[in-house]
Formats: sequence, C-alpha cells, structure tokens
Amino acid sequence: MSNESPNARAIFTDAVESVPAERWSDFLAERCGEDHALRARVQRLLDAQLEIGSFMNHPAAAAISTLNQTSLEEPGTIIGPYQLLQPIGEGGFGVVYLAEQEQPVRRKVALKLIKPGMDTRQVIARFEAERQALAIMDHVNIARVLDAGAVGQAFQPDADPTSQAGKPNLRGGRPYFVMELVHGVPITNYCDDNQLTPRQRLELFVPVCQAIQHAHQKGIIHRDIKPSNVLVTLYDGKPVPKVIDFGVAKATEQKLTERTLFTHYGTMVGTPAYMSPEQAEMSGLDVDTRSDVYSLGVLLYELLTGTTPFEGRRLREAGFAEMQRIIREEEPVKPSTRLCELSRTTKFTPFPADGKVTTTE
Amino acid sequence: MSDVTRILSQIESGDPSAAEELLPLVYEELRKLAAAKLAQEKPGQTLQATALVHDAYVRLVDVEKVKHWDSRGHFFAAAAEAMRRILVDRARQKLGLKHGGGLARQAIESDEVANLAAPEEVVAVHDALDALAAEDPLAADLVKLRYFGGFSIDEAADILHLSRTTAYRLWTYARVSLRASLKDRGELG
Repeated sequence: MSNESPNARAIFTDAVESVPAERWSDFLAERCGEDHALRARVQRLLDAQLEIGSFMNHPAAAAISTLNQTSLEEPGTIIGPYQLLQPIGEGGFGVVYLAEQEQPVRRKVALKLIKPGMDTRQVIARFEAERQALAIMDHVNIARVLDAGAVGQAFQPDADPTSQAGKPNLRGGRPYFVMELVHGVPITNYCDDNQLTPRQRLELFVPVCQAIQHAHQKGIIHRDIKPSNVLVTLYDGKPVPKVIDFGVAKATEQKLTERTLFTHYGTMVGTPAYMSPEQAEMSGLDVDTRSDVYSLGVLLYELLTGTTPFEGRRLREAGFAEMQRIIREEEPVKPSTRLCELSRTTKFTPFPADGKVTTTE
Repeated sequence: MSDVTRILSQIESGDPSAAEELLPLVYEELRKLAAAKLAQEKPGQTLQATALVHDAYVRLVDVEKVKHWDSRGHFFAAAAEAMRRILVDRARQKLGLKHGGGLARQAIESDEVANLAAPEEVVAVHDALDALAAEDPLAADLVKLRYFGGFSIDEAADILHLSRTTAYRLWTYARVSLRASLKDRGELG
C-alpha cells in the first residue's frame, strides 16, 4: 500500500512509541544495520517529528469561520471616555482592546467588549458576572477593574460603575468593562527569557498563589489558570505577576449540532492541558476551589520542567473522550523524570550547574 | 431518488468508478451550504465543518435507501475532498487579504480548543497532500477526513475501517511525513 518501504514506517513508529529520543541513534543502528538508505528515510521522519510543534494540530476545518470576523470595532472607535487603539486579546465572545482614556485621567487601559452579534442574554450575564467578580477583588497580583459601561451609553462620570449593585444599562448597548492594563508576558515566557533559577521561579509563583487565595476568599474561582492568564510585569524594575481573565469560564460558543449523526459538541471550559479531572469530566456539576489548586499545580510543573504534565498537543489530538480519560486516569511523569527525558531532546537545556534554566518551544 | 443516492447505490453494488461522480455534486452542495451560513449576520460564529458535512449528507442522500456503512464512508470521503477545496480557496483568499492590507488585527494566541489553523499551514498541507496520496493513499485519506473534514481521529478510524490504534499511528505518520516533505521543499518559515 505504501511506497515508503514498509520497514521505514514500522521502524519510525517503533522509535516514536517505545524508544526515548536519546536512544534513537542506537536503535536505528540496530534495526537498519548496513542499509543506509533505509536509515536515512527513517531519520528524515524522526527529524521532522522532533520539530513538529503544533503543526496540523488544529483542523483546517475550523478555518472557514475566519472570514466572518470583519465587523469588530475598528481602531480609533470611541466608546465613552475611551479610544480603542488595537485588539490585544480575543476569546469566544469578547475582545480585549488596548485603549486610551482621556477623562478624568489620561492613561492606557485594557477594555473588554462583547463582540458584535454575541450580545445574547446568556453571554451578557456571563460578561457581567466576570466584571462583578473582578470588582470585588482587591489584590496587587490581580488585574483591577476600573470602569464599566455599554456601547452607545452616555458617559456618566458621577456613577460608580465598579459597584456591585450598579449595572450598566444594557438596552441597545453592548457591555464593556475596563481593566488595569497589564503590560507583561506570560509567566513561563518571562522565566525562560530571563533564565530564572528554580528558586526565582518559585518566588514568582508564590504571589500567584496568594492572588488565587484572595480570590477564593472572595468566593471566586478562576477556572482557567494558565500561563497566558498570569502575566509578569515590571514595577520599579521588579517583576510582579498579575492574574487576568477571572471569574467566568471563557467558553467559545459552540452550539450542539442539530443533526448528531456522529458527535456531540459540548461546551468546552478551560484549557485541556491545565484542566483538573473534575473539569474534564464536564458532568455539569460545578467545580470548586480545588480545581484552581490543580491548575496551579500544572503551572508549577511547567515552570520547573518546561512542559505541562500532559502535553497539550497530545490532549488536543486525542478525541474528546480520550482527553478526558487521560486527565482523569493517567499518572503524569514525575518532574524529576521529565527533566531527564527532556534533557535528551535538542530543545531543552536542563538546569546547568549555575542554576540557570532555558527552555525553548 | 437523488443523484447522490443513485451513485451511492451503484457504489454499493460494486461499481467503484461511480465514486468519481460524487465529488462535483457534494462539492456544489457544500459550497452552497457554506455560503448560506456565512451570509447570515452572525459574526464570530464558528462554522463547524462536520456540521456542514452532515447537513449536506442529509440533504443529498435518501437515508432509507442507503444501507451500508461503506456508502457513508464514500460520501464522507468525497465531502472531505470537497471541503479541502473550499478551505484552501478561503485560506488563499485570507492570505491575499493580509498582504493587501485589510484589518491589522493581532489576536493573541491562546490555547483554546477551537483555535484556527493558520492559512499558510492549510495551503502548505494541501500542496504536500497529493504527494502523500501517491505514496500512501490511506494516510492521505485520513488527513483529508481529519484535517479538512474536521472529523476526530476516532470518527475517521470508523470511516476508514481502521482500529483506533492504527488510526492514531497513521495520523502520527501522516503529519510527520507531510512535515518532512514541506521541509524538503523549503516551504516552512
């Protein structure tokens, strides 16, 4: 069936499935012997495997929706006292813009706005819940909410939009809220770019735990703790981690297909590599604060080893049921073991004697 | 009986050449369905390819008359091939838009589940796929079903009559093979 000699493929499969990368060379010597052409064919595949990254992880099939996104707000749009500068983040139903505030103070902020067409009651309720969650909290390591409103509403400097009681008037207006702008990079990138030692990484991690603790004390569960939601910014030259994107799960709005010939599409909450087993379960029962603790554990694992306990790529490639099973049942590789394994690939430099760490994606 | 049903029956009764006739019909139906859905004013809505394929199946096939699993397999294979053409066209358009200036949006990449394949990747995979098909038709079929048709590996395994283990292995091999091929051609950034 395949013109690629059946041997080459079988050897490749065996190598990838059962032989650690550092022994591939020896393994190839054993299996290929004097057949240099065969060896070269397998080597070519193994080389591609090593640097494949996230190639083809996401089906092109989803790409058909991209042409739809032409009606987001243009930079330059003015909403209340804010002028939108550029989009800096995007979720399923909201977009975050870098914006400039003029009154009463002049500063740059992050403005989160519901996307056009997404202002259903359900989405608005979630959005409002997120805003309120943020408004209750008061911690140096949590991005602060500064303001809230709705598009098309007159700016009312007297109102206190951050109060829990006050709700933006939503008739005809898409809600938005304004947050402290966190100029930072994900905590994992920061640690790698600055080659932080394990101890330094822990010192950055502790305030993140304190932030989550604060949230839990206020009754808020984050539910989506991952590096891109923990940004490190500099204050007076000192790195300060800030937790963003709180309170409400950012589910992309996938509707159940009406004709379920093969599959149900459930609503995904969280990010597979960071999801706790009970989140993966998706039984509809609410998760509690321990889920956040699990995700913090995943983050710590990644800060110390350079990878999540279950590789994101592997989880995404698995079917949904398989992903659940892996998260719930499998025992991840111990961090110490992981460091030994990773030191063998071309992409990872283990903790050298001077204690500085580098991981590269 | 619709044309497609007739063709599928022919395939069922042992006339595999009828499969060629499927593609233009399925392509046309999918194209119409996709255009209709995208024309609705729902910006940001994610259009699920498999939902389209299922819709097309229900519209084109007289389900009572098509009995065998194999026939559905033929249909979905044709649909995946049709989706491939549609998606590559759109990816090329999108790349054209970018170079032509349009919106300068920078979305931060996040690990969310419904993330989108980059248009450059879509075009690259398409380019390398025919070579893979010549060397290993089954691997190429898997890529078409999964990458262009949007089916999960498990679903594709069913359609291709493979065990799950075999399908997962074949997928690993197919990805790596395409990657190596693109590297050889210098088509990767």
